[in-house]
Amino acid sequence: MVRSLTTTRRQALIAVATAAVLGLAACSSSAKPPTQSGTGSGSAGGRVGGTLTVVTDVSPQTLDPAKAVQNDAWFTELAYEPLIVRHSDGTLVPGLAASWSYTGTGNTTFVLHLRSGVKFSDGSALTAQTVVDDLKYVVASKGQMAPFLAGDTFTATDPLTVTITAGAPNPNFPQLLTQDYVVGGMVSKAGLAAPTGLGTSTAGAGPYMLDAGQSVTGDHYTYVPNPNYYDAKSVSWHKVVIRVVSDVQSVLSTVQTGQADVAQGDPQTQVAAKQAGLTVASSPLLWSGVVLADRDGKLAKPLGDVRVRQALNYGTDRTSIVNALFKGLGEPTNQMTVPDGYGYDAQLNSTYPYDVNKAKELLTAAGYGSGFQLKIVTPDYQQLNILAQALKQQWQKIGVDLQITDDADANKYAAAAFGGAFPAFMTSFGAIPVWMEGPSLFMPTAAFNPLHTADANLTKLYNQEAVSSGAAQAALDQQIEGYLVHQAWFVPVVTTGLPYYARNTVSGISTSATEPLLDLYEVQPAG
Amino acid sequence: MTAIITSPETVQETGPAAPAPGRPWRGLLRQPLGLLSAGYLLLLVVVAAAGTLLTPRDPEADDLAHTLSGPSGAHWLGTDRLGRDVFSRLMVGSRPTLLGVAEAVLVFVVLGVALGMVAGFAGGRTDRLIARLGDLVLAVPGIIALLMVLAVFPDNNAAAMIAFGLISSPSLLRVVRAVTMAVRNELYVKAARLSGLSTPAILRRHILPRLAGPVIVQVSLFAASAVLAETALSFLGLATPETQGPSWGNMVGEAASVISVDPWLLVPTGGMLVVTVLALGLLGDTVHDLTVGRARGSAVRPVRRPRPAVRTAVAVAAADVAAAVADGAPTEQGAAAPLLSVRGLTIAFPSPEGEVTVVRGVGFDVARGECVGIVGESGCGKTVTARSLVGLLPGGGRVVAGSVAFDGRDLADPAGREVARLRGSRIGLISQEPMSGLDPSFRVGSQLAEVVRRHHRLTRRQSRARALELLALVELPDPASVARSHPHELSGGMAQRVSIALALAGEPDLLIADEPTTALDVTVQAEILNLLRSLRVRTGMAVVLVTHDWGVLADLCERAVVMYAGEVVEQAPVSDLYHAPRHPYTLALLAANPHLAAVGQELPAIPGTVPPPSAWPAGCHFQPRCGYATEECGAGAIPLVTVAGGHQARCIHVDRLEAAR
Amino acid sequence: MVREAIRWLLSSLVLLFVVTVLTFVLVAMAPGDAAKAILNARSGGYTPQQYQEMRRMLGLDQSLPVQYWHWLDHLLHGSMGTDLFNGQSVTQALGSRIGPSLSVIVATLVVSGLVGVALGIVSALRGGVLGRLVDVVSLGGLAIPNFWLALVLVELFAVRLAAFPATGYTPFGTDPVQWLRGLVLPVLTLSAGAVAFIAKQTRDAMSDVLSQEFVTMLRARGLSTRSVVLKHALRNAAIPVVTLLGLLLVSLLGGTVVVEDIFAIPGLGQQAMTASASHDLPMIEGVAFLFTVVVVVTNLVVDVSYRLLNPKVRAS
Ligand code: SF4
Repeated sequence: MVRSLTTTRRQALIAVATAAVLGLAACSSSAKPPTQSGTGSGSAGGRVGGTLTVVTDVSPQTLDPAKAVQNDAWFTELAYEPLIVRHSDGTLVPGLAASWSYTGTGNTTFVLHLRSGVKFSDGSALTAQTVVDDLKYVVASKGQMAPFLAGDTFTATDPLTVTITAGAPNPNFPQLLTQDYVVGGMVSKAGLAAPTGLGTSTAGAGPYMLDAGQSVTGDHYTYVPNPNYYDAKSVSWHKVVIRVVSDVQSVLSTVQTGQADVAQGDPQTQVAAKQAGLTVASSPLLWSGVVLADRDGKLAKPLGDVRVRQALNYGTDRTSIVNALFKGLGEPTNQMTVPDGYGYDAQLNSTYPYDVNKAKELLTAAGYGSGFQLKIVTPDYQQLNILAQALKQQWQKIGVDLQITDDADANKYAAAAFGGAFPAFMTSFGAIPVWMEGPSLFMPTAAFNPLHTADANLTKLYNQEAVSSGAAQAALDQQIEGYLVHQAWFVPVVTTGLPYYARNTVSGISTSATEPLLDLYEVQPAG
Repeated sequence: MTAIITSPETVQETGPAAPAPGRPWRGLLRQPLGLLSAGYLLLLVVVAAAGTLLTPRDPEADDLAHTLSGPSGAHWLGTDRLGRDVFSRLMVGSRPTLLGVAEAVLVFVVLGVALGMVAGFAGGRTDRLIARLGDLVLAVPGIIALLMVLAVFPDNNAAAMIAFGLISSPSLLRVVRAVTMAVRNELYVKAARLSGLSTPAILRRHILPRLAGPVIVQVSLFAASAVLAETALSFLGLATPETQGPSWGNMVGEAASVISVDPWLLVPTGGMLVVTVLALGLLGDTVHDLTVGRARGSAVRPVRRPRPAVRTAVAVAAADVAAAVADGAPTEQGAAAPLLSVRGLTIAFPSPEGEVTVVRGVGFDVARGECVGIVGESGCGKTVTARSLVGLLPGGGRVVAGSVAFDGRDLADPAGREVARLRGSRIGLISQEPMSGLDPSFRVGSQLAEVVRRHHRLTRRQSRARALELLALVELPDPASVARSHPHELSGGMAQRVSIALALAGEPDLLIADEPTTALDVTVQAEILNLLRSLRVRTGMAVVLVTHDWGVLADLCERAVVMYAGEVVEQAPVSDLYHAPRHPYTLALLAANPHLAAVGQELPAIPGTVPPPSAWPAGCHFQPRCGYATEECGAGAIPLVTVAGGHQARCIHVDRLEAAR
Repeated sequence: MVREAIRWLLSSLVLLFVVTVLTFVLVAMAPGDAAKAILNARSGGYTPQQYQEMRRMLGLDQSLPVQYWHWLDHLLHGSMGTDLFNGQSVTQALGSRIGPSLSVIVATLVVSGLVGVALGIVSALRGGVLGRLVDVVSLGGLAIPNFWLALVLVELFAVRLAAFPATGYTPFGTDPVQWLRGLVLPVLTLSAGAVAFIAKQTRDAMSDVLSQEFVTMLRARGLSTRSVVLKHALRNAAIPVVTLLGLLLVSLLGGTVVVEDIFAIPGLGQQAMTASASHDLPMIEGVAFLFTVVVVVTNLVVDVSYRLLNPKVRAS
């Protein structure tokens, strides 16, 4: 707990480690009838409560949606209406865009038809040109999501139509342009004209807007209703206050004592929150384990042999670890996605049962029967350092001596892990669409592939996936996932979720396998 | 971290007043808490050094089936998140913590002692430069400095602790500087320098030994704060990560991270810290008490009533003594009841060995308007006797037997209420050190006016006017300007006049003057004596004058009491004493008196010194130094006997003395 | 007096200069920089070109003296630059954080000053068992890690008894009652150690003064114990104690980090931690500058009260 660094650390850390945390759900689809966000949970209609206070241990580095990271989504989504809304049941529903679709095949042209008559909080109107300028600003800002839009061309084909021509096939435009990835939130013309102001103020078309006078950067952020919001009746609160409490235990006590209604919790306090009688909602979101980065054996020769990598997977007693460290918080896993996530295949979970003998056989066959030393670097969030210590003990039994470097400083960890200084590193990674996962996790240029392993089979499968859709895409996702599991590029151990706590003063606290993030604007007064 | 308080300064402005007693270690043995602490710390060092040799279990062996188990037979302090044995981990974890503390302490001591000694010894420009540097370092906010150092050397515990030692060292520097300066200015060190002893030799032989006590105090307090700093840094995730093995800091951090699931873990880990810091603190306190000394028995503390049983025992013992010394009462006296009548006065002081009697069976009378002198060498109990008359014994001393009757009231009452009523109003006191007898923080006029108002119902204005009158009474040339002055602006003579004015403010019947002129220049001495004489005439008050100066005695007093080693050895009218001393000690004192020695004649000093109370010989106290001593003198207590009218002496060989004359 | 003031001003400027330069150098020496931190945070990986570009954008490519000169130049024009991450002005960010930190620090000083001095006096007067007790309690106060105490206090007074808020800070201007309630637990946490510290030092100072000759003489002149202790002895003992309160303030300045973290108080300590971990140079400089100013001003206040209390120094 108490990492005073949490703010910084978190900012750097989850951003880095879980290059992207979200976005499951049915791929590319706009087939749903246009319902409006908030109206889904019937009771909302026009009822306005008092103040909603929520608390999180994450402090946003910036409120600028082009530069903010996914962890900051709470701070941006209230003020910035996205083009497409991810509903809490996982479906994609219209936001600023009334409808959207790919044109033709190959996932290269994507057209958005904007809602008419929408005004930003500063009173300016939403036009196709604003959206185009905004997307260009996103690319130019080089934020977290910029790589997924870089090389694309944005055109205002008529006052309310935006056409995106992708430089390379992109099957995930609809997911990308939701609130979950932050960049989906549109900024007004005036906001784009003075981008430095966006760090500490808002200029969006969302249900609320930041009241800078009632906010202290890094401590609390007060949002008040946006008088120009197009769907006024879904605004449920006079005021929404997001408080930043960097210590996770204090987050719990804040909501426990009624100083806040809702909290973004932490696995460390999840059990206690339940005991305290709070509503706890959590859906699988992350997998945690080892990235065996040196698949070519450049730094640690043994890792170049697939049998060694598999042996490490066999030598891992996931069930014991999960029972000891993640009881009630997560499930053992063999794959780099979460149940019901992209490419998830339940059968893959029986790939590597705990089997010391099998592991030893494989090591002997590879010529490492007498064991070897392996250097690994770990950060100390998400219990990864504890997990590493548990693995060290288990792998001793198959002769592998794990030498752990623990970097409490997330930046230093990132430099070590992604700089290619270690043959292996501990990580937590969010389940994301496979096309987006590739450039982050397994493609040759991915940050999580710091030694740039290239695999022709994998690249081929990936390129096929990029231009596919529907069932064919789902099948390819599973194929890619299976390939990664069998090649044992990773030693995934456990899948966990991000818990949310709520008091009985509010309702609408729900997450799902397809939308594991709680959307604040769906939170309603109870009763 | 508790505001990392980087300067656990106990010795602030003043250096230690008294030289440290020879061996604090022996004293340590008598302090159970200090001893316990030292033992614990020693054990800790052994455990840290032994590493896994002593641990009941492998501190790294995990047991995923039994995590966070709580205390049990197998795991005395329970297990951690991975099922590892907390007890074993605490043992092993002491090493990085102690190592970090040792690094910090090393830097702290080396810098603090070296620079402090140099500054204190060299003085002048070097001293000012070092002091400035120290101030500069102290002004750097500690936490910022540590954060910066950890930013440059991430996760580097040693760097952080060394920096911590560095930024804390000015506090030790100040203490060492103060002590060094004090020692440097002492006579024997000056003598050593003059005799050509080299500077390093002086530092080693004379200064280092005296530093030991204060340095140990500072180091143990600093070590305590270093333990807290080390753990706080680990706790904040800034140093000693858990994967490098357990340390107290990361164990507390781990415990804190599971507090909502298993609060127990905070108990052994936090407890270890608390106990260790306590041990260090207690050790520091003990050493502080033993070396620097603590003015525990302050003058203001009300004299506590001894528990009856004890009181009786002491009283009985004292009564025996009193009987043995034949009461020490003057046998004849004028018909009128004396103003002050002291009988069998016995005074004891606490010491590590128990109470020590320093004044035994003293008795004398003072008539109204009379001036009685108490003479003797220093260390004979004159001052203690005088102070006991106003119920102001220093250092926890108390009257264990005897009586002090003043105008019919018993002033030796242990509650001290009676005497408290009379102080200032009927009995005045002036002291040896006029300057240190005045409160340095208040103006003379205000101090005087406060005393005046205390004893008379006067308005503020009236009391100010009366204060000026009093200043005029003591013949100060410009009362108004003196009233506006602070004590440090006065000369010694002026200060003594102010003291006298203060003593006279309540118009007392009895003035106790404790060596009122000793600290003054010869010419000023004469002026003060003249003043006292004229005041006596004008006010008609009685005076008890403590002195070791026959001249002063002859000048002012009618009668004198000679004291030696806690006892009255002779008392007589001053002229009798001068011309016919009946005690070898008085004789020796007279012989050694510069005023009486003929010009050009060598001054005969009394060989030997006054024995301390703990070394009083059996029988006659003067026996080891007495030229007349025989075997009988050591046989038993010597009674005070009347040798002539109003003349008593405590010697069994009075006749031989007479014969010799 | 004028000369003294000039000397104080000069030495303060030297100190400020030294501290800010040292901070610059240390930040430059630290592995990693803001450019990396920002890039890491935003995209989880970056090319050398991106890195260079970011450094240029942040002005980190210039030489250290030039960077420092720019900073100084800005400072002379009343600006301390902007937060490298969200573009907020450093002056404004720090301005909003002074209130909470000062509230906690000043309240702690007041509480520990009053309680500590009172305890110190009592134990100096009574000695014996009570003195020992104060010793042990003092040591206990110093020995209990404050994060531990904070957690216990929250569990007890916020969660179980719901007497005080567990986290957060309400500005005095918004609601004085809430402001006070919010301060109770943090101030209690910090005061445990501070009271102990002050009590011990007051006890020592007081014992020292009480054993001095003038105290005996004051009593000999018939003054009441009350006047002797509370007027004369305390006035003299106050001289070292004031110095200690100054020291305490300086150490509390940084020592609030843990408390600000646990109680989620938006203060300077938090800002210092965050800024130094993310290599946010303008912010680090701002914090270092502000801290040093507070230290300098504290020293001045201590010095002035020292002079007021001690006539000897006043005269010379
Ligand atoms: S009693 Fe004996 S020793 Fe004592 S003074 Fe007389 S002669 Fe000397």
